Amino acid sequence: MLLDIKNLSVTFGSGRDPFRAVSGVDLQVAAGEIVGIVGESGSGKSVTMLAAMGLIDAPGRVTADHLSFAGRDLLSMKPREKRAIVGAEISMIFQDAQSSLNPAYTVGAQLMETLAEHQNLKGAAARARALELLEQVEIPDARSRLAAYPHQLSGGMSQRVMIAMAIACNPKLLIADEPTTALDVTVQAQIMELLVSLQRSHDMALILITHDLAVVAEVAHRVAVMYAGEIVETAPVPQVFATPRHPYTQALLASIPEHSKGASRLNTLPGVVPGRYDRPSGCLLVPRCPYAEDACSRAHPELVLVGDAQARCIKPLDDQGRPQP
Amino acid sequence: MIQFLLKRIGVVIPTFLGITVLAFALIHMIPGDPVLVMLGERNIDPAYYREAMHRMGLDLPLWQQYVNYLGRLLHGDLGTSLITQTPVMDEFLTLFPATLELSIAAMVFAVVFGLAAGIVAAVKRGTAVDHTVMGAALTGYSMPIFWWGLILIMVVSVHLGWTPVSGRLDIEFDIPPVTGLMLVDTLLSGDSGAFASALEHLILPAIVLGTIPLAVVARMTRSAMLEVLREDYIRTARAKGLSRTRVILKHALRNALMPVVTVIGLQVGTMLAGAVLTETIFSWPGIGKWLIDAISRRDYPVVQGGILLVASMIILVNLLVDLLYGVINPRIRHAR
Repeated sequence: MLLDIKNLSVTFGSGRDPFRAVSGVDLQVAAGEIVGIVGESGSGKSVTMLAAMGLIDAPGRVTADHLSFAGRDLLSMKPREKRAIVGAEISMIFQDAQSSLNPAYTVGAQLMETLAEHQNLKGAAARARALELLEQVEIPDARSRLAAYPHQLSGGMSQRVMIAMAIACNPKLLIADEPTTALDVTVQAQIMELLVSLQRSHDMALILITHDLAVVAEVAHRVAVMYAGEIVETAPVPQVFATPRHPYTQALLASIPEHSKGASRLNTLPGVVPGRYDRPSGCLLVPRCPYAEDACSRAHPELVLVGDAQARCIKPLDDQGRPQP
Repeated sequence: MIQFLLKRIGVVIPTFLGITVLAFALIHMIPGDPVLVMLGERNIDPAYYREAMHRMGLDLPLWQQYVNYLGRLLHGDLGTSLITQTPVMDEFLTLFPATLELSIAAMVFAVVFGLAAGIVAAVKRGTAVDHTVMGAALTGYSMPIFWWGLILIMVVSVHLGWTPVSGRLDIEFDIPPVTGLMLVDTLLSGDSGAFASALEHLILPAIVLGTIPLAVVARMTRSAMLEVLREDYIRTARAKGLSRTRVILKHALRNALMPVVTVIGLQVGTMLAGAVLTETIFSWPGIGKWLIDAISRRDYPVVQGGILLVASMIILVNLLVDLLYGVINPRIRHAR
């Protein structure tokens, strides 16, 4: 297993009233696999991956039973060893590419910084490699872009530069945190296409954090659905669209316009994700779940195996999308 | 960049003209008659008075006086001191290097320690270190210069005997002025004892003058760093696997410098005001002390010329700050 996460929790704040942003997440990603992590804003998707990268700062606290990358234990690793992996073997791109590039340095300088840090490439060699990377991410007129500052680039162009930086050291795993959310619709498709083609050509695993199920349906092999800091369902991609096992997944699918053809109104899930102070004691979806019963509030459900999928529900949905009797 | 430069300089010219108007008006706004001030108020022969008025050009219409004044300015003529009968410009050029040296030393002290303190406080935000540094900065900012200067003289010079009490150089050294900057001149003379003496004399006044700017720089650095450290590109830098030091000093500090450079520029004005007090406390022969003496002696040409020169310095420094922006922030350099 390339990335192996067991029982990962991230807590912010301390004292009497800490807030668990992520709790008990298990996630395995195999080499070359594309995994989609789906969920609403605030469901803990990004925080989970930032924690895996070691990018959660105090006062945030990360705990896990196990956290390893390519067989190496990330939990016990010294910061220096970890830094050698982060940015080289695991890299990450973010939602807002334009603000993710440092406005004070040129594109070339920022690219070459990664090369100098991890591959000890400097001077002309680094320059040549940076140019090659910009060409790989299909930036037109790459040579002149090396000297450009981020404010001179469009959003799509900035994301391409971020991707170039992320693949600079041929990573085994690329984490893309909503890479297309901030972009124009036409550019979104191009960036997704680029990511998938790079994933194939570099044979790297790709974790795609998104709230766009359509994107997941197109490219991912497997999906993990997160709700309020927990994984509520994981399933292989074709199945999850045909037979969601968790009511929340079902509701997410119903909110995709394509799934509601002919309906006069788009299906929506009533209510909002429970916040810090209104977490139900049993299943976290109870206040919003159309199938909720008394039993749901009694105990916090564990993930249970349903066919190929795992769902955190005491009565997972059957093949017809109805709660099992 | 050239365009940026020209534009900035274009803005400076009207500002400078405005200052000449103020400096010119000063002589007409002060109570009393400059001729009477110069000649003494009692028993003046009316003919001699008219003659003096005419000689000083004060009988001309106001606008013509101003034009004449500007004309003289362009030739570097700021008038002559009523007391010493030396051209104001000459006195200024003799004394300015001392103030320049003191200000540079104070600014270096303020920027080096202010930046360091601000960065540490921001990185250790909310800890005892942060509170201590910021508490010290607030104390420094609130300290009256003359009081702080006297305390330091009492403790460091008198009680501990580490530094001299006043002046720029021990009397035993005779260093020919080349640049007017004592540190440079003593270095050029090759006399290491003189250099050490110049340094000893400079330390306390520089600390006193630099304390308030240090506090301001520290606070501004802290808040700018805190803001920048939240930016997305800091997360990117960390996701690249860069060390913490590198993320802070290369990625964060560069972007946090903009507001810090602004306050440094503004502090130069405050500093020249502070120099007046500091130079007086330490008998430092600079323009601050010169101006204070001129005011108490009612040496109007000196006051007028001095104000014009000091204001020009502040304009110049702010111009430099503007240019520095362009260097630090590419967005400004590229903006039209």
